Amino acid sequence: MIMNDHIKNKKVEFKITEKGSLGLLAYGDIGLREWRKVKKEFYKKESE
Amino acid sequence: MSKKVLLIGWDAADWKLIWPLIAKGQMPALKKLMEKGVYGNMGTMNPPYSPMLWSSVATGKTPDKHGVLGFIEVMPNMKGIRPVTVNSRKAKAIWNILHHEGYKSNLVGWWPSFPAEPINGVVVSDKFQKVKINPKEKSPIAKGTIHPKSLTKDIQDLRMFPWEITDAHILPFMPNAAQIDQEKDKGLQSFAKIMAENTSVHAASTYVMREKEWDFMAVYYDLIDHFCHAFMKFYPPKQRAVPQNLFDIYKDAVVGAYRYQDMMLERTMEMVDEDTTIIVMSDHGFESGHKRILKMPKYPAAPALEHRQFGIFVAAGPNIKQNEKVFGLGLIDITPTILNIFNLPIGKDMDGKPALDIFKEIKPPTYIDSWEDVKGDFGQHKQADEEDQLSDQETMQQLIDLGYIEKPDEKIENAILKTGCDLKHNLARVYLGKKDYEKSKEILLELINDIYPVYEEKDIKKSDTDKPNPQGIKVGDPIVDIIPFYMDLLTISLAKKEFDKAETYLNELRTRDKKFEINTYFSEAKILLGKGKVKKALDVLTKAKNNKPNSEVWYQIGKIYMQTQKFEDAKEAFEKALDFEVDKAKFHQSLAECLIRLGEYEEAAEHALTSIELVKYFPEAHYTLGEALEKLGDLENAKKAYDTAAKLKPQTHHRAEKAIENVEEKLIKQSEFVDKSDYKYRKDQIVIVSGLPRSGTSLMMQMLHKGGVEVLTDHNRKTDDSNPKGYFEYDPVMSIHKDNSWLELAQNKSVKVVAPLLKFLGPKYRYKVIFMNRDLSEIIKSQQKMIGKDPDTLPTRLFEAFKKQLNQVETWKQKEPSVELIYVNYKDVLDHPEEVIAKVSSFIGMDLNISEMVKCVDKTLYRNKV
Repeated sequence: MIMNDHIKNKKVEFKITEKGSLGLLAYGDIGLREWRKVKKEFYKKESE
Repeated sequence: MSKKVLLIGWDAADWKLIWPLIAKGQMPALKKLMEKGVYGNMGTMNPPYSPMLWSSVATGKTPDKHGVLGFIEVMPNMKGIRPVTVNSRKAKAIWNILHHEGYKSNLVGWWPSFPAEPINGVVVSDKFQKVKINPKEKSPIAKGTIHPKSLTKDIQDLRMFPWEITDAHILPFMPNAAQIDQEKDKGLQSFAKIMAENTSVHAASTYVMREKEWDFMAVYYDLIDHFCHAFMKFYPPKQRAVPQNLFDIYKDAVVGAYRYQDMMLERTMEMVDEDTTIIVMSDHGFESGHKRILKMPKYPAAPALEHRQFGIFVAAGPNIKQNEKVFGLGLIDITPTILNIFNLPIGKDMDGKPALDIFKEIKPPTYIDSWEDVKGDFGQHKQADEEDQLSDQETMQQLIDLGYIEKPDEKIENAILKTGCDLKHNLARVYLGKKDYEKSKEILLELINDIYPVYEEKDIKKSDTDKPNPQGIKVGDPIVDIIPFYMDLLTISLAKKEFDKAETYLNELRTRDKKFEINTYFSEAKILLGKGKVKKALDVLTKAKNNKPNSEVWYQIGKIYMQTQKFEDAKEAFEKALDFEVDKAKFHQSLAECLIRLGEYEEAAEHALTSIELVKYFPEAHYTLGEALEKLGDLENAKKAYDTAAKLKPQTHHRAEKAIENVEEKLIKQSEFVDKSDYKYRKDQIVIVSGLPRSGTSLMMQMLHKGGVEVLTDHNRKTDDSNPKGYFEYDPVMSIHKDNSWLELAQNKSVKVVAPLLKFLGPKYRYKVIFMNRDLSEIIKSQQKMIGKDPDTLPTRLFEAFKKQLNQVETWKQKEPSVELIYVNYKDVLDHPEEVIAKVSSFIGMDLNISEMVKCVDKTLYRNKV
């Protein structure tokens, strides 16, 4: 998963799993939202 | 140049934990900030309760002025209590002032900030992150949580819920978390709640930082504080009472919190430009050593006992010095400092001052009388909104879980009464912290004299359980516990040296607390000491030391030995105190003072320096360093140390001022080769005639009187056979140990003070002491005769006691910079009066009427020759 950092105008690479990580939480709103997206996708696939 | 300021609050962050983490590279963001800027201690205030402290940070004022006095408040409709809100704050915060001046501020999580104030900018109040623990319960965002309200839809998803926490979040803190028995141990539940709340604050903060314009931004995290309260007892080294299995699970939790906080800081720092000034600070520290408390006392807010006096301060920015340590900062200095950055005037009614030392280029501060008097729009609430009167059970429960507040009484009127008393008590403690003893006492006396309802059977026994209540309350107990009020009254009496009153309060405490769980041996020892019962005071402390030795008891023992001038014993006691706690500034300072008395000046200077390194804002340590350096002959640096002592002391440091004058004179004498035996008249000097009783003091007084020096006497003691020419005494001298305010009247006069009372002369005035010496055997013989005893029997114990007193005078003379002293031999007065008069005249720097003085000498009165 690649997240856009709007402040630095650069791409930040994070490997995001459904369990998330402290790094993602520390990344703030973007990290939290991106993790939730992955989590949602993961559980959606799981239930399929 | 941009004036953006980012203020980040880390509740309870402590250098003691941070330094080892920085050394191991585990807090890289903070380290980077420190290298770019300044760092130092942040002094806290009493009582160290976070909502009060963070409101002082935000206003530059002490809690008596800003009005936030605790964790909870009584609702304006008087129908209940609730977590403290912004409505308790009566003073304008920095963001209100910036609003008025046209700046934009963002505020996230500040404690207290609910209901959100309508400022120019964004407020995500401290209610935002508080969500229900149970996933089945909804957690709507309450009205007043976010300003502007329209932002709610954009950030409502940024709240993290405790049930979202996964093992990927837990394991870095607790690798053995799988071993937790979640039925019995609620540790993981606490962990999840604290993590989720702080992650929510951080997510909201990063969002508004990026999406909204701002000039000032403040974010508050309680992560470290809450982790410390929950898990510090497991932090290494393991304490004996902590079970091994729990230690293995939770030992890394606190360190984990610091590291996670640093990760959040790293992200925050990435989001600001080089022109932003970043301040990271905490409101107090947290005990991490042997003073950790495993079993909390039952008093309200007892967990605050684990708060340490010093928090942290780090600042970096375009006009901030680089990689320097700064000293002497207090919470109340933050707002004046930020106002200075924004070129705005500081309210003269603010208690803090701008920390100008942190800046590369200093802008002279400007002032206005008070921002409170300035009319206009400050982005404040017009009036308390009745709809905002939520009781907020979740937040209340968290405060209870943390131990900050007691579980409120189910009877609402009792809960209101207790809260009212707690807030009054906190106000009294604020005054106590400000040394305004009278205001504090007035409130405390009102609190102990009030009549309170008592607990009834139905208040205690719950219908659903027969278990005794956990707080040990019995039927008939008053619902308000007045023991804490007595404890503070005891503290005030001790501070005011009212030892009889202190004893009454101590006895009252003992009567009221039958089990007597409070440690009062320090108070008891201080009372005994104040009443001159030195040996008994030492016995009390020795018993306490034998029972459970600790650093403080050794320190107090050392202080007693210092007072009794047993310097070798004092040295040993201070060294023992340091064995227990090596980083305590006051122990090093006392040891340094002791070493000076023992003539070990180099070691003294080293300990004084260590003390200063630990706590720069410690006037006595600087003074002691000055004394050691002066003894070592390093006058230039001694002067610098005395200067610092004088500068740091909130009130005038008379000793340091006198010492500075002395060193300056010595420096002049060094360069001008002035005869060192020269004395000079000192403005408003007090001439003291002293000696042991019957050593010729009355004769010297009479001579000075005739020589032209005005005498301070009340003539109450009449002449008699022992002193046919009068005693020249002044009654208030006898109670100088209680009250020396009369010394003001003695300026430019002479007064008689017997040797044992010399030590009570305050450092405020300059003293010229003429100490009368007479053969000890003659003195004792004369005294024996005066009181009708056999003059030929010399009591050896008295002889030894007098010798000791004379040694003490010599030590006192060496120690006190305001004292100059000459010895005059009584026999020389009789045999060579002119020579003695010349010596006295030179000493006091006045021309005296020699012929009149000589006439006073009557050899026929020299009747007890050896």
